[in-house]
Amino acid sequence: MTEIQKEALRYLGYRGNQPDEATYSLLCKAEKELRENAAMKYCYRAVNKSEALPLLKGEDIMEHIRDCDRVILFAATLGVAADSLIRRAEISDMAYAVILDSMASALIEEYCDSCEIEMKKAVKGYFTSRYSPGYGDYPISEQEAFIAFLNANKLIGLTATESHILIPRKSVTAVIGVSDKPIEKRKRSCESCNLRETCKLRKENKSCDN
Amino acid sequence: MTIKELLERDYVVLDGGFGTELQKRGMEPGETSEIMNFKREEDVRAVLRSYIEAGSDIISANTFGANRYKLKNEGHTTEETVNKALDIAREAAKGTDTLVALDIGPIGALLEPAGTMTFEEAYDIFAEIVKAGRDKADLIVIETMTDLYEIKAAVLAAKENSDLPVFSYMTFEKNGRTFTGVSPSAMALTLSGLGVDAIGVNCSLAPDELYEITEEISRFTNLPLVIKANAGLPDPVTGAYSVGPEEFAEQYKRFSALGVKVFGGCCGTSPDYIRAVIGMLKENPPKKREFKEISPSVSSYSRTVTIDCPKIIGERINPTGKKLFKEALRNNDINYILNQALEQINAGADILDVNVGLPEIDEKEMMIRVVKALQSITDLPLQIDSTKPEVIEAALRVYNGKAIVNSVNGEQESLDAILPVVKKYGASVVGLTLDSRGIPPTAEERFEIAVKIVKEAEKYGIPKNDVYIDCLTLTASTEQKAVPETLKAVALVKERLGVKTVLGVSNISFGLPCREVINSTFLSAALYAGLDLPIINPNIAAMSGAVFAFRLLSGADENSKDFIARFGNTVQNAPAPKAEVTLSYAIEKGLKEDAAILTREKLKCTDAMDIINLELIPALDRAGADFEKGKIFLPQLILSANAAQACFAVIKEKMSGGEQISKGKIVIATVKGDIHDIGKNIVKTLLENYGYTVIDLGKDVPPEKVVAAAKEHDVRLVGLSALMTTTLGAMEDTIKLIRDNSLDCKIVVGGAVLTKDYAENIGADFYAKDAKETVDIAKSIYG
Repeated sequence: MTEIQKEALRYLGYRGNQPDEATYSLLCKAEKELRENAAMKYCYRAVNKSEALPLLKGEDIMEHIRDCDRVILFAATLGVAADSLIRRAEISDMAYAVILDSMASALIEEYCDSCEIEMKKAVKGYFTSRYSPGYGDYPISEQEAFIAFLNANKLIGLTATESHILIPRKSVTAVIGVSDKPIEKRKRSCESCNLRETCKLRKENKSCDN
Repeated sequence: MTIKELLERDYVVLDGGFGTELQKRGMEPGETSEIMNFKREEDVRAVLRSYIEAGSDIISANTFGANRYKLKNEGHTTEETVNKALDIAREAAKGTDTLVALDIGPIGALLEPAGTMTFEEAYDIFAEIVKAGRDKADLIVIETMTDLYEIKAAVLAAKENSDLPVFSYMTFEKNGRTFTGVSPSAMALTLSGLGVDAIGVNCSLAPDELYEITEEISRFTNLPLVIKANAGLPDPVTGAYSVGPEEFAEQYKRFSALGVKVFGGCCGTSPDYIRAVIGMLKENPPKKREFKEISPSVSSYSRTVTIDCPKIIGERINPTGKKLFKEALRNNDINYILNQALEQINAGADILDVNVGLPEIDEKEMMIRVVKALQSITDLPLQIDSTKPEVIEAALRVYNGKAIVNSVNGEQESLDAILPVVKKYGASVVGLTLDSRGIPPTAEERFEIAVKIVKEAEKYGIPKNDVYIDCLTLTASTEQKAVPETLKAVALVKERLGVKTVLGVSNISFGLPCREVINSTFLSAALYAGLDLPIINPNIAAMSGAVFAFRLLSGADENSKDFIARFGNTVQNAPAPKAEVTLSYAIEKGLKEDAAILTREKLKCTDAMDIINLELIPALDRAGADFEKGKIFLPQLILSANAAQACFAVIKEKMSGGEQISKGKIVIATVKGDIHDIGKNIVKTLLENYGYTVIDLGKDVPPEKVVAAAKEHDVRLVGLSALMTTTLGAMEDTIKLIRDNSLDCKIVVGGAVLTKDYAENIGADFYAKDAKETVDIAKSIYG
């Protein structure tokens, strides 16, 4: 099984268990269909910390980028096609819909990782992990300002609803700190996960990492 | 100078980038450009002036985002902002013959189905802008749109609230689609149909990358074409654009040769770019485009179906003679209808006919709901099937694409009622060859009616290519002699009138045995007579197969590619379940087909309720218990539920009314503001498969609607879901409103961020940690 399949199963609550044959074949189908149809896009701006300050609300995000002099404001999306695949599956095949949903979540994470590799070519320095509005005391209501600052509506088609949910649904906004000096890389954690709002494990103070 | 006069010139020049020019003068990124009308009035005027000096024939007032959604926290209304912006533009244009456009950009929120804003809300927002600006502008420019539905709302708002000319542009990505998947051909067909004055492409990419998109648009419209590209892409670190003025103008040469008439620039372009473009155009004036017949085509927002060989119209979304369909309409069961659509799509339909007429329901309301629901799950074009003009109009209004209207007939009354609506929304129309005398017996007489219909359509401005003639199938058992007349009429209409033909096929065999054989034989004969659009049940392999075979035999399906793709791997009949598979086993293992077959067998000698209570429910319970123990996982649990659903469907078919096997009604909803509904839908699947009737109110549901549904259906259990911390408040409000109305029902809540304590605090009766637990709660209430 590939990493992304394992990741999707983690989101489905498998906790390391093997899927049965039917689930596995749906998982493969979901990955294929999403990769074929999703129009993944990202945009970012790399600015001095001072320039981004109006957008960085709360103590937690400031702590996250404490040792950085620059920040990247970043947004990525799988586009509306992923949402529409899930919506269609929900009509006739709910099992496939939940698998698509998890696979799409895994895919946006994978895509964000690949964006970071791209951005590292243009922005020199050491990167912190991604930190998103809605985590810690960083208000989720900052999504609108974030989108406006990046012009992300025009560049990648990203919007937020009045209750600050990103649409297309499989989208991420995040802050990445950039420093000239190496940054102690923390373990991958919930803070950058786009399931953090809805994650059952997190509610039980557990993480899918352990 | 008027737009009409301007468009008679060899070329017309627009202005260039606005935001980027204002940023050069000190506007910060993220600042609202429209507020600069108040904060930096001088700069706004200077930018516009600089374009007039560069030679722009039309400038756009700084009103791009002056909608109430974007301005909500800015301290200025749409009316103030639009007026101020137009005043500035008028001043800038004073003493010149430069025209001033009211510029309308996207609202900034995604419309249904991807987003939460309704089409009607979007229309209101645009209408407000149009009303505010119509007296001071010379034309309306609608641009940078990525959603065909949104631009349709804007065009309708512009045309219904002003007499100004309308230019409309959309923004495409490298893959040739917009963010929401709109194709250039679908855009061209739909917007041309809505009667705009010019159509084109703006923003996102450099000219070179927009050429193929513009070329595709040019094949689907005769309207003047507009190009307004970016100066390449901005560098995310420096912000500099990649294409300079000379190169930009050079790249526009191809567009001039294509016959594009209107040229401008978008992000990153400046007056220097406009000067360079004018220089290029003087040397290379655009080629004159010749008027051409657009091949008969219909489209959704993304898929264009050109009728260049027979295309299948699926007939199954129609309650006539269908007990379960009627019941679904009465119960507002949209999912049933959507499943009818999905089946036909999988069976090879190209277009779906939609008829929801039933005397005891509000056909117009139902039509709007069904059209919106269908276009949320399929990109097949729709054929709106109704006898009522008001139903047709309502459907065409909310349809995201170019639809077919089914139908008008040769009676003047029908023509005068339906054709104006067809024209307004730019649809195609089916013309039935009958009139006040009924269906004429001979082919010649039917042909005469066809001629009249085409003539009348042209009178209303509907091109001949958008009229499809139905020569009408009569039943062979009662009117045997009429069969060859129908085929003859099809050939006549096709050859002499040169329009496309449509025919409902299944009627031919009414009252006879072995209908499939007659239907498919007649279908083949009709195809050879010249039938383009058979209306059939594509789920019957012999019917869709006849069309696929005809495409192969007539050479339309080159190298038999489509035929092999469809039938190459067909298993003729689903194999019977292995002997050791029992119904319980099939449900537990999620074997949907087996479950259906075994249920059908069992029903022959077992009571339906016994099957449900002794096999289905215990099997589901075992799957549920395994799920709780962590032996199986969510997808498997749902697969079991789906198998149970297949079993239920078979039982329902056999029984006279579905209600008899319902264990009780439950209202469920995802609360207001929240749009995460996958969890709620899992709950629904499970509840239904335990035999409960679920009234699913969907997502983003206001408290009043929950209360109204709970009252109307007199339910004893309401389920609410919220998945965001920010929407838990709405859950509490909903519970409070239920209590305030003293409804005699229990409330179960669920959702990832909820806890048992929190559920108690906000006044819920139960907290369910997952779908399985919701079923247990439902059992405790209804048994």
